[in-house]
Amino acid sequence: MSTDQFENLRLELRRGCLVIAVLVALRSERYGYTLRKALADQGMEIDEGTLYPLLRRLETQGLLASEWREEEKRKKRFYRLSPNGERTLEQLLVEWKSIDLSLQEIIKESNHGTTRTLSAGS
Amino acid sequence: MELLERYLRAVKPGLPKAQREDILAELSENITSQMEDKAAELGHPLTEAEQEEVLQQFGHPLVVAGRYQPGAGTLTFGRTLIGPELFPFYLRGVRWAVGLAVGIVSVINITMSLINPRRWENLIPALLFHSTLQFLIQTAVWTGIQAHYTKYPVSWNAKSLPKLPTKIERVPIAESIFQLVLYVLAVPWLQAAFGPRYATLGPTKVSGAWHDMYVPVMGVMIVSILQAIVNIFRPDWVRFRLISRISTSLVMLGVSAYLLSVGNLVTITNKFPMTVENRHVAETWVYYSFFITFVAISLISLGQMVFDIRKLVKGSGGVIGLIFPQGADIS
Repeated sequence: MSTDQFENLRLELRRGCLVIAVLVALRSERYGYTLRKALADQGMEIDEGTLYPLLRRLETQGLLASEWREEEKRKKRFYRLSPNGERTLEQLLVEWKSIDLSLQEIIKESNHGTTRTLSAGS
Repeated sequence: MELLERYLRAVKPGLPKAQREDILAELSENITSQMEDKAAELGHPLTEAEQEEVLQQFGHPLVVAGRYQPGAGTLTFGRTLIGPELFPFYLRGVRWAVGLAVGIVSVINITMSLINPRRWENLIPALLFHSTLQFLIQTAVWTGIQAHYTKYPVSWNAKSLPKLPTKIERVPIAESIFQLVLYVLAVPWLQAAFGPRYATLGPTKVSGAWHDMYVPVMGVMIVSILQAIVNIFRPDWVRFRLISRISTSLVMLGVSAYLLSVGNLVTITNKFPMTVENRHVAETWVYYSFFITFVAISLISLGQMVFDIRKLVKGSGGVIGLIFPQGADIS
């Protein structure tokens, strides 16, 4: 597999996960830069050019609420999960866990199959 | 933070209009926080090179702006020709080019059909041809831009951002003097053409319609001369010039439309010896010369008016700023 192909698949895989990560992180209120830092600290690096427009999109979809507020003598736009966002996040997490479980089962089954084939061969 | 300001100015035009200022304020705050964090980490205020590095990492202004555009899509034909970052700009380019082509082709064909009703038949095929042509040109250009950007993703440099404007806009005095001289010289000629009903210019006699336009044309001359005189003494009254030019362009559009709607604008006088047939041919040629001239004047006036209105609205902080300007200074 070429590097480009892998990169495209990796980006596709990350896209949905990023939304869940952002929604979870915004259970407590944050502004753009601190949210990015918080996610990076947890190992979820997102570049600014992706995160900030994503926040706007999620807000337009009604999943986030935001307000401009002054902090340290500067106006910042704080985001937090909206009630609609909380409900959606719960559903997404259930879905995520189910996908995770299914994937683990598929991988386990596939590994057993490979082991059985190898044993039969030997 | 001059570099940050330059960066934000470069991002601004590509952002969706309704949220432009809000997004810029948020971007400014987030980048400032990032720079402050980096400065705290390094233990000194960021040098210009370090600021450049932060912005470089943030991304090309066009790409950053593109991500805020609603309805991001892609143009795919087997493989992706135009990606989601450039797609909104491609759509905008197509909309403008096709719109402009439809406008120009319609104006020309509708005007021509007033003289020759058979021209109506050409309208739909001409519209289809020019719209398709513009669509293909835009697609080719944006596919090329995308290909370049994919091949050289880091080929932008924060250093190359345009500098901030340092001087206040002024009307160049030389330009006002030139305008004054030109318009003063044009007055006697226009007086001869528009003043008397059925004026004679060389071997031609102008139609009475010209005289009907005497007052508006002279009004345009007087307003333009006064505006030039005022701007010689007050070059900072830029808005005054814009308002004056918008009104004169509007009048010139009306004058051109009126004269275009009249049949024969000139007739060849008997002083010029020629056969009836040749006279008819000559009059037709003269007519088309005037026709093309007035179409050109209409298009130039329209273009000038649109340009000036946009500049006036932009310079006033949008439509609201135009209606409720801050302070009473006319400049």
